[in-house]
Amino acid sequence: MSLAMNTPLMSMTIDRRREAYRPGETLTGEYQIDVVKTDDLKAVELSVLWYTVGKGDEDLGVHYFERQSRETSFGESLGSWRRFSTVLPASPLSYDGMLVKIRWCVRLRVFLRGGKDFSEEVQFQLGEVPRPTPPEAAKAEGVGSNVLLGPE
Amino acid sequence: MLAAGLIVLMYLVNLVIWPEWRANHHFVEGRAVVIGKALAENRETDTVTFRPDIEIEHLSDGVKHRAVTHDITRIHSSNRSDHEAALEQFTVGEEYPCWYNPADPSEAVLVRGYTWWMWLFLFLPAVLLYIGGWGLIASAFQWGATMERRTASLQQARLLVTGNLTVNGELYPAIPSDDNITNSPGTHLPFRLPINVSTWWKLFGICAITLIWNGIALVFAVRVIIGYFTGAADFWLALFLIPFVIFGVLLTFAFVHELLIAIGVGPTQLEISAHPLAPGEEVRVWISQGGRLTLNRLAARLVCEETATYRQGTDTRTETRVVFERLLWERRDAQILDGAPLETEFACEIPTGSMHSYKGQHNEIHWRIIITGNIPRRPNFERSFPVIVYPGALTKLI
Repeated sequence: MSLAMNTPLMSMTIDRRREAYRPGETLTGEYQIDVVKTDDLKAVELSVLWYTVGKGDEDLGVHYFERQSRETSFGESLGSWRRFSTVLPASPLSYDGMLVKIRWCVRLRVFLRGGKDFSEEVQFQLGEVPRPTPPEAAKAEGVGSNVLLGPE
Repeated sequence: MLAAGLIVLMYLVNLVIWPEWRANHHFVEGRAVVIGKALAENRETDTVTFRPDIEIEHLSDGVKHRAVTHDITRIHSSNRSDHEAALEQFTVGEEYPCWYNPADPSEAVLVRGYTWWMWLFLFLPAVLLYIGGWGLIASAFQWGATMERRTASLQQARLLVTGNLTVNGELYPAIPSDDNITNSPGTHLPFRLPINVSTWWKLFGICAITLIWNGIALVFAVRVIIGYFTGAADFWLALFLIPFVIFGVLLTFAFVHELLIAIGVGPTQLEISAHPLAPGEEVRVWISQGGRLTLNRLAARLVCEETATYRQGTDTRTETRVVFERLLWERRDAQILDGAPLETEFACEIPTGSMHSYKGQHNEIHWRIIITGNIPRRPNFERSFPVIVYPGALTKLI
C-alpha cells in the first residue's frame, strides 16, 4: 500500500459561511473522510473550539466535541458527508488584541490504526470586536480611534 | 509526588508502624530483671538527642536472654527530661513485666503501645499519595487523548458537578464571575467595588519582604564589617554583597513610599450603579477620597489591559499591555479636609464594540477603574478597582 493511500482526505464545510457569527447562532456544517479504509481508521474527532495565540501560552476551550471510534462504530458509510450542529456560546468572542488573540475554529482529527493522526481546521469569527488601537497610536491619531485619552 | 509519598510512607512504616504493631500483637509476655540503665546520647548531628537504654535479663524456655531496650522504636529525641523520667520508672535489681519476640527472645521491650504523635506524620505521605495518585489516574485515563478530548472531558466533569445545564456548563465561558464585586452594597449607588489590592496588605507585603531581605543582607554585611575592622576583610564577599545591598535600599525606598501613601492618603471608595458592565451601556460611578490632603490632581480613568503569561525556559513571565484608556473625571488643585472627603459622581461608558473581560489559564483581558492622585512633595498614589465587562448589545445572544 502506498503512503498516499494511508493519508486520509478530509473535507469540511460550514453552512452559509460568512464574515462573522453571532453568539447564540447555530453553527452547522458537514465533514467527510475519504481515501482510507474503515479498517485503517481508529477514531475521528470533531470539535468546535477556541484557542488563544499571541505572547502568552495557549488557552483552549472546547465548546462542542464528538468522537467516533471503532468501539462506537463509524457506521457503514464512511465516505458519506456527516453533519454537525451547535449553538454558539456568548463568549469568548473572537479577538485580535496586542498580546492576546482569540480564535474560533472547527477542527477535525483523524486517527489511524498505525498511530498517525491528521487534522484540518476551518476558522470562523464569533462576534465583531474590532482590533484595539494602542493608546500611543490613538494619542497620535486623535479622535477616530476607539482609544480616547484624557488630558494628563 | 506519588514516589515521594511512597518513600515517606515506607520509611514511617519501617520506623514506627510495623515495629509497634509487632510488639503489641506478636510479642510474648514475660518477666525481666533490670540490671542496668543509662541515658544514651546521640551526637551524630549538631543537636544532641537522647533515649533511655535499660539493660534487662529475662527467661525464655528456661534460657536467659539479655537485651538493652525500652520501647520497640528506639528513637532518639532532643527532649532529655522525658527520657530521664522514663528511666526513673525502672529501678536496677527490680523485676518488671516485659514482652519479647518468641522467634528472637533477645528482642524485648519494657514498654508497649503506639507513638500517636508519630502517626500524625502520616498526613504528609497521605497528601503526597492523594495528589500523586490522582495525577497518575488522570494521566492513565487521558493517555494518548488529544487536547480537545481532555478539555471536553474536564468540561463534562464540571457540568456533572455543577449541574449547570447550559451549553458547556457556563453561560459566559471564559468571563470571570462578578460575585466578589457585587457582594458589597454601596451607600450612594448599588455596588461598592472592592479595591484591587488593599493599601495595608500591599504595605504589609512590602514591609515583610524588606525586613526579610535586609535582615539576610545585614547578617553578611555585619560579617564583612567585622572582618574589615579585625583585619580579616573578605573582599569577594563584600563585592558579592553589593547588588543585594542596593536591592535592599530600593526595597526600603518602596516601603517608605507605600508607608507615606498609607498614612497620608485616606481611604478611596468607589461605587457603581450597575454591574457587570456591557459595551455601549452607561453606568454612574461615585467616588470618595478621604484624608487630609492638598492635591494637584485627582483623576479617574477607565483602563483595559491584556495580560499574557508564558514560560521562557524555567521562568514564568507575565507581560501586560494597556489596550484602552479613557479619562472619566478629573479635579485639579483640590483641598480635602479632615472629615470632609471629596465626593463626586460621573458617567462611565464602555465603548461600543469593546472586548469583554476574559480570563483563561495563561491570558487575561481585564477592565479597571483607576483613581490616581498627585500630591505636592509626596509620591503619587494609584488605587485600582476591577470591573467585569460582558459581551455587549451587538454580540448578545440572539
